[in-house]
Amino acid sequence: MIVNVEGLTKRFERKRGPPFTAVDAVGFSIAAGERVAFIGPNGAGKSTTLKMLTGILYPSSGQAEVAGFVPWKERQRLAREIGIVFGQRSQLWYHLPVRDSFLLLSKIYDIDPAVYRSRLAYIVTVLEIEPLLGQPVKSLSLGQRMRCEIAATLLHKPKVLFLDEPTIGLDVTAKALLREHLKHLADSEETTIMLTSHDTGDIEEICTRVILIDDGRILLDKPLAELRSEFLANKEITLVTGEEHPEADFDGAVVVSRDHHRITLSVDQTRHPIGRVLAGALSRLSVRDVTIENAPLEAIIRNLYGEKR
Amino acid sequence: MMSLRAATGFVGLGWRRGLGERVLIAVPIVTYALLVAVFSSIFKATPLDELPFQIRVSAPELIWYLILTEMITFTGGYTFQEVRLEVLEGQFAASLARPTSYFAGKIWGWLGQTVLRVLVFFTAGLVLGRFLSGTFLDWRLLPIALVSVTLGAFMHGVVYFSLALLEVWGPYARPAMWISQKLCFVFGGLLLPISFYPGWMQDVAWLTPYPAILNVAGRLALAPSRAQLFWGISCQLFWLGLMILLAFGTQHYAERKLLATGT
Repeated sequence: MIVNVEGLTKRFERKRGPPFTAVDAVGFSIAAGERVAFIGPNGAGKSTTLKMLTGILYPSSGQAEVAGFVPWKERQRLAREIGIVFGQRSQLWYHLPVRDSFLLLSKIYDIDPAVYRSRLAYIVTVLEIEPLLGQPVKSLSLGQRMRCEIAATLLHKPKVLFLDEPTIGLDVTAKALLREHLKHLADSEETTIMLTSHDTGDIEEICTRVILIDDGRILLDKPLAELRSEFLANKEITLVTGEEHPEADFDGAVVVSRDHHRITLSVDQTRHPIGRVLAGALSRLSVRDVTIENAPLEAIIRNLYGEKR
Repeated sequence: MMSLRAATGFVGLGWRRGLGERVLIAVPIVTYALLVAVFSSIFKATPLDELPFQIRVSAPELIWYLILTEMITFTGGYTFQEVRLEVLEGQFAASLARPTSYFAGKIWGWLGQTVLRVLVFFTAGLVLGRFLSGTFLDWRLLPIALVSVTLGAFMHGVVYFSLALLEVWGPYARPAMWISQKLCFVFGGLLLPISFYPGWMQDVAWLTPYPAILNVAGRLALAPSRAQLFWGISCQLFWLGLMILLAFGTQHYAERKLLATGT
């Protein structure tokens, strides 16, 4: 296991009132190459846990090991093995061209110049940032800067990548591009990823496992696929029909929306097999197209929050 | 410990940063020139021989003194706001996740930037001094003046670093900086050599780092003896070492506070 956490607790003293427990006896393990989403509502303890695992916050009690190091005891040695991207904080030098920041980082991480050159060439190609290298960081758009931030983090080939809201503030296209790049890099280099995000798209596109935290405690820890099958009893069937404003009353299906030549149904699979509902629809309507989709992850997470609380 | 490669990387970063700040350097140079010009007129208009106390310094010497001391305040004072903002914006906290010390990175970066700024201001200062005083600084003292001004400016930056880090504990950095600025003005002898002060005040001044920041470099304009030169540079190196230790100490406690509380 590349990340091992046991009974990790962080209590903050307060001037008035009792101490506030931000993280309460959290425990989990992450295998090398796993891509884990660490999710929860605001104030759940995600960032506090991430800070402890990266060594920038002392825990009140508990144990943790990341890439073979105890983070808060061997912070600077651990820093050479991990990469951190805070969505709202830059690690690049604002006034310098991107290339200069990368070069300085290669010196800080003591990367051999030849290794650095080939590594940079690879990352630049994958993240498509060649045209940005000569530009000062301050002149980049948020999406361009985030790609450069990720590139900077990957230069020293970290074993574990901690991403805190990496797509915050990005537009749809920039998000999609960044997720695609991250997934590609993680797949090709077997980098372990621990990601916090409020954007379910990030979780869906990048991660394979979800840890849900709330009030400082872990409420759920499951593979994403299992989470989907367990919590995705409902599927959405969209039918494009020859009839205008299709009317239908299917046993076990609830009409979600209806349009001129379109109807969307929600089916609870645990009670009504989807095949039977679909067969009923095909026999009664002249169906021109069918789409079957899982409920959005956002809905699952919303349900989970409600259920687990 | 920071590797030599990383240290040179930071020096290069500071140097390039200085080069990129051409406009930002031009504005202080104009202010510097105006300030020195105003005070040189006052020095020239003051009948130094008729003062109730003997100062044995001529107006051109005083102008050169001011050229050197003001040069230090203009070249070394830019670090405060930079560090304070980085504390407030979380860059200092984020730097904890790097394999190098925040201060070590800063100190090497400033070295590159300060050397460049000193070279620019030194050149401007020589031209200005010649023009305003009608005399020239003893050419044999020029290399020592360059070293002394660099040491003073660098020390100025290091002192400001410690003060700016006070922001980690609360809004104390700016008041502390304000007090330090006034102390530097008086005890450093920004406008007049501290040898003009009453004896007790000179004794107090030499217990602070401020004369090492300003007065030592300024005194090069007052025909110092070899012993005074040696003593001056030694004094600067002593205080610079002490201020660097203090800065590392302040950073250590600031980091401990952040590591314990997260803010």
